[in-house]
Amino acid sequence: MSGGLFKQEEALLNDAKEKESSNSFDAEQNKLLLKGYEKLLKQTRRLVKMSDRTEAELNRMSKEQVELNQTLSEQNTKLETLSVKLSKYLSPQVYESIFSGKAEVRVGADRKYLTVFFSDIVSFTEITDQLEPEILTRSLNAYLNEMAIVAISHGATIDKYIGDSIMAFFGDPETLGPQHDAVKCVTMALSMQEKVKLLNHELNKMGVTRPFNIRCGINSGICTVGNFGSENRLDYTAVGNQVNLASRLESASGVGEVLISEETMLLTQEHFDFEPNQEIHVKGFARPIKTYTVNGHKTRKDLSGNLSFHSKGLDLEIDPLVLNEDSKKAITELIPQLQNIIQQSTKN
Amino acid sequence: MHLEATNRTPEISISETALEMKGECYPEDITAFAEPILESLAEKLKACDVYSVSLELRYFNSSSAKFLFDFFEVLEDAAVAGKSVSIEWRYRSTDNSMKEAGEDFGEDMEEADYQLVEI
Repeated sequence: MSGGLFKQEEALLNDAKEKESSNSFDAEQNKLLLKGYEKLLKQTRRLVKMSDRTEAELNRMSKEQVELNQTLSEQNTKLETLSVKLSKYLSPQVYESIFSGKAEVRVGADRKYLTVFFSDIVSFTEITDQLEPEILTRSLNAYLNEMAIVAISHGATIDKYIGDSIMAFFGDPETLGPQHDAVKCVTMALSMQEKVKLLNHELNKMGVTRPFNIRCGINSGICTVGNFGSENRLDYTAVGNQVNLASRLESASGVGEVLISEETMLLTQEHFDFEPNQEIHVKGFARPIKTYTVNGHKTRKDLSGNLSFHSKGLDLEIDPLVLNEDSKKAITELIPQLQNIIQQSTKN
Repeated sequence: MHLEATNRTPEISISETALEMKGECYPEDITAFAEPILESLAEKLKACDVYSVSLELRYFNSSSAKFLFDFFEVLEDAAVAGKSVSIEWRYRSTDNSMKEAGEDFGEDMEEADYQLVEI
């Protein structure tokens, strides 16, 4: 605070001091000094009062701020909990694209090239008719849970569960390109077939006497994908003839089979062995649809240099065209580790 | 004289017959802020018979409180000298702090017409 603010008071005091030193301090001077002192005392009292009031106000606001922060923190925790719960209703890619703000949550759809997958459990109704509701619930949830783990690990967008049926697709909201998406989808379907065989041991322990067998259908093509419904209730899904075809392939698939369309076969032929199957007629398609049963992964180093090998305990896919420096370094580092694993495995 | 509001000082208008002050007041240099206002006010009061003042402050610090004591003293002195001085201390209905400050300043106003106005 500058001295200028107390100019009057300082002038009065200096004048009094001067007069006192020159022995001219009189009654008039004394009266002025008293008046000035009285005024200053009054102002000081009020200033202290105002200062106390301001301090009390600041304390109140600070307390309010602390309470507000606490409320905000509680609301954030609630939102986080809610968000985690909500994530279980959505495919991870969809959840991520919504919560990161990449995707708009509104009615609307785009045309995208997708590889669409359908599966269901053969004779599920007959199997479950004989089961207690608790066993039915536990076994179906165990099955869907394991299939979801396989699907997510391969990067699938799980569209929906319809009873024991699963609909998933590759190509939206993330895509590696039609060919990679299709290869991932077929690889996922084969992994699911393997997983079900392992799961049947667990299901048997739960009281499911007849083993689960699944059939899978896959098709690739341009679909309409996006949010369908109303502004209040949206479903993120894919629709169109190509989706219907995937569903129809699933129905036509045999027990434990993966049946794919010609389009998917052409996209994935470098990676899998196929066997032509019967043509099927599908509503919306003028010509009969060629179908192929996937026999398994090809084990060969093809002309493009792709290396693909899959057997029990081993899934290997190397595409030299997309390898970056980090991937190359990782392969170099993995070789001695792989040798070590083989040595340990041989000893055991 | 017209001073635009800053984030630390209020908007101030001083004319021949009226003064208005509105905003927050906690200037970095209270003397540099206060002296021209007090000088201008004293000058205007000398030259007129009727003068009105409207103050609507939302916050002021301790230095500004001392400035306001001096400010009101100038107005009261003018009223004692025979000028017709009217003062409105305007405060928001939810702002008890400014209401009480207005009551405190009003205690010294005997000759000047001092009113608290809730807005």
